[in-house]
Amino acid sequence: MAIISDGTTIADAGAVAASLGSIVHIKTLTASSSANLTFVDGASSVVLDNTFPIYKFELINIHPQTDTQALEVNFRDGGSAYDATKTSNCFYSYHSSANTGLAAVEHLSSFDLQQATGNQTINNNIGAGAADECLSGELWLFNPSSTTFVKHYMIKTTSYHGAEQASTLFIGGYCNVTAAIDGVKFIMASGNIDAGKIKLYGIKDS
Amino acid sequence: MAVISNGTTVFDAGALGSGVPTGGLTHIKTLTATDDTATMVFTHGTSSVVFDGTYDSYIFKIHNIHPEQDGWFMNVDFSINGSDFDLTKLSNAFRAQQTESNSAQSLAYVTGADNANAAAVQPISFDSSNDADHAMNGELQIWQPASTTFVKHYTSRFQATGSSNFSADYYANGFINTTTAITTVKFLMAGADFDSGQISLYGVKG
Repeated sequence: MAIISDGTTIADAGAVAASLGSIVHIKTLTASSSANLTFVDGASSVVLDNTFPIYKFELINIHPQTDTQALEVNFRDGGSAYDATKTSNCFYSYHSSANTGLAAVEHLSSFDLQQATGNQTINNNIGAGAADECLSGELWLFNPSSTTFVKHYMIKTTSYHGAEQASTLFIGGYCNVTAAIDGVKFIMASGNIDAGKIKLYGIKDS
Repeated sequence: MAVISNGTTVFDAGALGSGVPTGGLTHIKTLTATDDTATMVFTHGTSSVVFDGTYDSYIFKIHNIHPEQDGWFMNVDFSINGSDFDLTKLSNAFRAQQTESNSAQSLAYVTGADNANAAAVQPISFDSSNDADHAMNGELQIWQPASTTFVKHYTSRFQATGSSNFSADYYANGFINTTTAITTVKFLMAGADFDSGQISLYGVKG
């Protein structure tokens, strides 16, 4: 049964026709000593295709099981391996809790990638031993299903750094492939993800 | 016909009731560039564009912009009347980059892409490539364009594939130094035209 108000269809065929906003929540994964958090198009209600032109991952209170480890991400471009070729750049700003002059913004070449298939570091050295230390931020992925263009991504996260710093990393890059990206995996460099959530949203364009 | 639940109007007169949550981001308009598109222009009150005091801020999501020629900036400019694009801006710009060959990486201020109370366009993406699989993606946000009290701040971040095969993460931030309401936003390439791509305008609810 359709619901029609003043000639406008509000709901029909099991779906709401009226606009409910342009940020659409797709999936939330919650870590609990998890080896990885992985979003695959078509699995477990995940949508990561041409339904939306832009996807946003929100990383919320990611707490590593092992202190001072990095959080990483990689992308699947066909097959089952997360090994898309990537080129990226990274810079960061940081400030030490002791305010001892450790405050700067710098290029961080160690997390740049040059046509690499390995994981992209999101933020490093997370946690200094306390239960309240974690990472939060966001990752934007543009047109993952395009078979014409490379796939750009932008990341910004802030973490409680193991050297007692607030550390914010800015990463921009692209998967240098024209195959569709249909999976995104988040993983620690070593050890598991102890706790935290990653939420996937799609951004409507019409 | 209205549907009212527990005293709350869910919808009436062909629209959702004001008490129904619809998310913080509302899609307003999408423009699509085709071959030889010189400009992409959003003007309040034209072609269903809303760009006034309806929302506290506006976000332009820009994806897979493919330029007609190599090596040009993508620019934005603003108008109070839809025809004169001569408003002074004070802004800063910086970018991080890394080449696919690892031959050059840096974080640097981009002199020449900032404005010092000049009426010039605002560059928002960097040295873009027109290789068939290259493109640029990002966003521009502008706050309270209809204010007649304050200058109009804008921030942008773009991730692009550079003309010599590099990843460029480009930031431009500043303000339009006028207390007159901004009604029009125009996107254009510094040289030649757009080849393809989309720009979507969203309103951000307060």
